[in-house]
Amino acid sequence: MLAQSIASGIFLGGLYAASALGFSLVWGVLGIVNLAHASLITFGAYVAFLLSNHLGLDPFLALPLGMVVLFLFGYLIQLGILNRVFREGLAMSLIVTFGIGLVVTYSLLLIFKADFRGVILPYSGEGFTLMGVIFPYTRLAILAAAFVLVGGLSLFLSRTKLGLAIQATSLNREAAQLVGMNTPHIFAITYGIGAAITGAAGMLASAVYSVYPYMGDPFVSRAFAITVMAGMGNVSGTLIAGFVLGLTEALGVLVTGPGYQEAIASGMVVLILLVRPTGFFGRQFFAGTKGQ
Amino acid sequence: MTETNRVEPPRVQGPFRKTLARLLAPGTMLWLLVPALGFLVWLPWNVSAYWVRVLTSVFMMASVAQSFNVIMGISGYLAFGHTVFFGLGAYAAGTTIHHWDISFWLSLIFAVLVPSLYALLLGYPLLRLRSQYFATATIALLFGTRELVINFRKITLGSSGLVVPSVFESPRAVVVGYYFLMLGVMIFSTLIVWLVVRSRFGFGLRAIKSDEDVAQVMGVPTTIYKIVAWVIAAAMAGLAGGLFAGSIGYLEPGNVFNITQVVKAFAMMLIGGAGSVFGPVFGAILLELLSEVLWGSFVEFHMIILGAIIVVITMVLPKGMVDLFARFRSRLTGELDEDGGV
Repeated sequence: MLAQSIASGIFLGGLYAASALGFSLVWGVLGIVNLAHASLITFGAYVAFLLSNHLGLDPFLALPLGMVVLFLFGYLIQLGILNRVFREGLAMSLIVTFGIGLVVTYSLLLIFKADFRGVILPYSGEGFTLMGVIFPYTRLAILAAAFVLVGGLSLFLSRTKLGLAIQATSLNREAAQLVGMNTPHIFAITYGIGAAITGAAGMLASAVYSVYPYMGDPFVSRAFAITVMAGMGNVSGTLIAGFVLGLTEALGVLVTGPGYQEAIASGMVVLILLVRPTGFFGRQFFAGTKGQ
Repeated sequence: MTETNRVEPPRVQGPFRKTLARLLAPGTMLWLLVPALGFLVWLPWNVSAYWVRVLTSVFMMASVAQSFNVIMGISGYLAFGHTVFFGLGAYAAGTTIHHWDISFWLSLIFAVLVPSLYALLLGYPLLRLRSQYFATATIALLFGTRELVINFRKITLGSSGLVVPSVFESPRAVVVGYYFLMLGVMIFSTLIVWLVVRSRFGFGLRAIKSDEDVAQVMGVPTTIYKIVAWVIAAAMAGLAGGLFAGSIGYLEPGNVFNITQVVKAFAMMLIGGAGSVFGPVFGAILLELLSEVLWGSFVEFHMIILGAIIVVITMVLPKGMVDLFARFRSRLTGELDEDGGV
């Protein structure tokens, strides 16, 4: 029982980490607290649903395709809307991203109606048992995908020219502009990558949860908890914080009974902010936490 | 700022502009309140029950927007989960009526007390946080409190909902009664904002908004001021919530602990003019009527249009209608107002 809870906490943590990664990147680099986050997760899940239902693509194999769609969407949102407002302060970005979230969520509701849909995989429900603990294949695949996403983003930010440019802009926007970087383009790419990763998390979630227009909502409080725990924009910290949160929830259920997961996540946010506002891993990863 | 203005020659030319400028002066504009109030008293007997209900929700949102104004507009603390106090007020009224069988009027006292105490207890630790950290903590507070309310089924009846009986008897009296109660709460909230803005306390809060460290050095007791502002704002939201519980007759956690309401009230405050006395009321009238009209004409996609409108209006009017009006007036008179607002 305990071992199973730990295992499911780790599986959950992987998914949470993947779902918080884009949120954290956007917050850390752009200073945008992205309230459109839930809608991007849902968007990704519907992309996975469409691809698997109409083209018969496995959501795990379709990840790159879905990420391209979400990247383009995020790129255009940042270029067309957010670039105009996000420097005017936190309040503006909160309101505008929430408005964008409303448009996306209710457009999805209009297109797909409120029905619960599922992505059916030939191997869903299957798994193996090791020492009395069940390891479902879908959960293992999600965990692996979460590692790939975290590793990929980490390598991208530290090894590629574009990734370094993103880090540079987040440290000092004016200086980045002075050395000739096209900052609006870099902001748009950053938000696009954030959207792509968030959408990928939605695609992963579609493999284990039913797909419906509000399915992204429960992920928001978790994304807040993980981001605050790891420090905004801290990529590898996000993975660890994801596991901490997943384990806390899975083990917390043993203590409090079901139904308190979101309260646990929210309580953690408040506590961490009070004790250590820069997160558990020391300094602010990006200098981008300017706020107002 | 005043230096540059003095250099500019006064631009009032001709009797028409002069009269117009005089009419638009804040002192003169205040007289408009008298016919406006008369109109609002006359209205419920002359329009359909539907429109009376719409206006009731306008007044409610205006009250919530005013409570946002105290903590966010004037003090500059982005309490983005502030609607938690609205929900607590609604549930304080609903549960006391349900369990103790007290009168609605008595329950309103709890609707004010419970959120105020919650704010008082959390104020000291939370208000040490600034900007995005504070905003995040209050959002978490909203999520966490909502789930606690869902889970404390013995008190709140959880997600199955709580029925709140109405104080008024006939259907017509219900509609008109809550209309006037909400109108009263809106006027009361605006009065509080007016008092706060004019007081020494209000100057302290605005000093905190522009630079907290400087305010502290200058001798503003920042911690106490922030906590008092937060408690006042919580009490205002709680009162509106308590009345909402009575007027809607049925409470459900997702309905009153709703982040959409935060964004709406916040947008209203911003569109009207953050930190001004009447701005949030104008913002509420504009946005709530607009969203009601949209709901009537495009049932299926009104939320999509509402989202788009919130985005567009906040982009076009980041400083609010009151600021726009003040700029228009100063264009006429060639001078800037003292504090740029009504």
